Amino acid sequence: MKRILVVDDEPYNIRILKMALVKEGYEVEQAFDGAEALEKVDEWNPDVVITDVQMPRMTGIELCHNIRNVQQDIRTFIVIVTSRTESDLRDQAADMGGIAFLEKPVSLRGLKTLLSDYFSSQVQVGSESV
Amino acid sequence: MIAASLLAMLASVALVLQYKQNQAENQIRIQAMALVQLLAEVPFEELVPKGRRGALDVMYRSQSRQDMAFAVVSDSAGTNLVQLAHPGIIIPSSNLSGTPDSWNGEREILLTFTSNIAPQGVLEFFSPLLQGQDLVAQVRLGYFKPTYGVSFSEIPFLASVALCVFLLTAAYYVLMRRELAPLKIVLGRIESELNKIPAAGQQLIIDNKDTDLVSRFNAFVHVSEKNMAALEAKHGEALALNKVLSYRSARIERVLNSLPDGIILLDEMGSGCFANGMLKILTDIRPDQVLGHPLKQWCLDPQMYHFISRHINPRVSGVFHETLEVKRSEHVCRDLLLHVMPLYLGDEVEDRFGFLVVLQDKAAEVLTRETCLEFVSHVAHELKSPLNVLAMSSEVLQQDSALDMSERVESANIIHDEVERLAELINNLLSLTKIEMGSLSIERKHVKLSDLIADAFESISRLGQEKRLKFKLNLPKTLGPVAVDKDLLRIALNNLLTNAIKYNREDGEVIVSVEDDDAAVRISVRDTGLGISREDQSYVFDRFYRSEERQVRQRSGHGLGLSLARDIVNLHQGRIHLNSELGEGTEFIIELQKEVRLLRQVV
Repeated sequence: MKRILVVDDEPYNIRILKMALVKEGYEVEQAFDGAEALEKVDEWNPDVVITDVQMPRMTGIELCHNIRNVQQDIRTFIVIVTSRTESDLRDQAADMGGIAFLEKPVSLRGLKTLLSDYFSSQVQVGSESV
Repeated sequence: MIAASLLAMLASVALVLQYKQNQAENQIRIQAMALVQLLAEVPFEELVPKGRRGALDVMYRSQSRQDMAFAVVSDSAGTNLVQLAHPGIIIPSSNLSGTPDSWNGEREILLTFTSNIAPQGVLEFFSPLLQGQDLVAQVRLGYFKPTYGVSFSEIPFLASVALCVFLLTAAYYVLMRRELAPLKIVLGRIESELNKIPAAGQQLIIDNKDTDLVSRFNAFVHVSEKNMAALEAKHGEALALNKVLSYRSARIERVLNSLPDGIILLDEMGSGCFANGMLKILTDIRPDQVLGHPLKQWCLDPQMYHFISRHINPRVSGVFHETLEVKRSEHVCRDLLLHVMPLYLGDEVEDRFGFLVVLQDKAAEVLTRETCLEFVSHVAHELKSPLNVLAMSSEVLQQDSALDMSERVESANIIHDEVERLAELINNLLSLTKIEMGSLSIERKHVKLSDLIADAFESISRLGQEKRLKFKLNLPKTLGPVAVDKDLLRIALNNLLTNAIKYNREDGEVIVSVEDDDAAVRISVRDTGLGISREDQSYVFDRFYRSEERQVRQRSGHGLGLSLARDIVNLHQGRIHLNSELGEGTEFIIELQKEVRLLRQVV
């Protein structure tokens, strides 16, 4: 089963995302802030990290940065859920690969499509590398 | 005039002649009477001698024949003893009758002539000759009455008299003309004015049938007086109106001068009509420099000048409000926002009567705008999260694929809770905004605090059931009513209680106690929850502030509850205190001043 880590400081956000993703057949874990998220990434090794941007102590971008550059994890696919459409956000994350942006309000269908597309592309890669 | 003077002359001449005649008569009289008296004294024998001329004769001949008509001595029977007369005269008979008194005197007779000469008037003087007491004879002298005769020698005299009279009358006439001349002018003026006065006045004068100028003049004066009175009244009204207008104008000017922005009013040509005091503070332009002077003279800053003069250009029509940021410069004291807008009396471009120039201190303006924008973006941001959750939850419910019961219930619950949160957020925002705008005024009424707190307690105790919280309420028995705004205070209490529950631990406690003294009332809400760190304590009352503690963030909240509670307490002129220990719990105390009027306390 594919693993997805949901990071958000809003409990209700996590609840609904979790419910929707579990229904899709994913395994879902949650983290309330960046620090907790990093721990979980390290321990649990999720395939995808879905994170909000506005969070206390560590923003979603900083989390991204930490995962990519500090933890040297280039494999995890990161989906950033943002309520702002500033291009500078994308610029900030431009140098880091494997990042997708989703705008609030999040369409579950869009999210599901994004995930399934990602995973199917991964399968191809996997099969190619064989 | 000539006739008058002629008449005057004739009259005077006649008077002179009359006078002359009278004088002559009197002269005759005096002479005659004396003579007659004298003759009457002469003895009879001398007067009527025999054979020779008597005294009468002598006397007669000595007289001028012109004057004396006759001289007669007649006896008591009436026969003439001696008679001497003008030729052709018929001597009238004597009238020796009557009393002795009448023997001496004079009478006027009409003397007739033997020839065809017209009878003439004669004055007869007579006196009796007496011997003892008896009348012997009577002496009678007849004189011709002096006539209105004019002798040549008298003509120069008369002529000079006439001339004098004539000159007098002429002089008098000239003088009178001179005196009358101004009067004539006045009369002429009155006539012309009479023609000018309005119909009402004319009516008055026409009614006055009397065409006598004096009465018409009176009528004219009367009408003029009425007009004057009407004008006076109008004048009075105009003065009063003028006073009102200048008061209003002064009032408006005062208002304009009190504005925090600089104001300049320009006319169509670009000359200054008005400038307020603030202008001097924002720029180096004094209001008196502006009044009546063209733009070029007082607007020295090139940025300002070009911007404003572009607007004034008459070819530029239909340009509306424009704003320019003006940097501090030699002539400009602050960073400014310069607004220029045309002013119209009506709807047409032609109705433009001037321009309004407003100078705003950019710092203040920008600060306000920034604060406002910050707030709005904050709010928008806060709203996006619940919306996101609602979107996703409803999308789940919309799904084609089958949902089992638990999933449906879960989605519905999430939607419900988020909506409640949203409602709470919006209510808090509204209250905050109203307080901020000052449009929320507190209505103090005397409220029994015990009831208020009990109510609040009641409504939120349901919320604490999940965590199995214990609620305690300590109210003093003798708590009197306090003047507060019931609704607002309830909101504040609610917010505190909600927090007490939200941030509490399982099996925790919420304790509400009230204590009071003469001066104040203190409401304490204490919980055995997470507590607030020393750092966070400085910020918890700030809008949208939420502690970054994970435990706090795990619970949903907007960071407005405490902010609102504090604003409400401030509105009541009270204070809100915070005691907290991280990990132990938190206590909030609302302190409100009582009105220390014992009479108001209802026990």
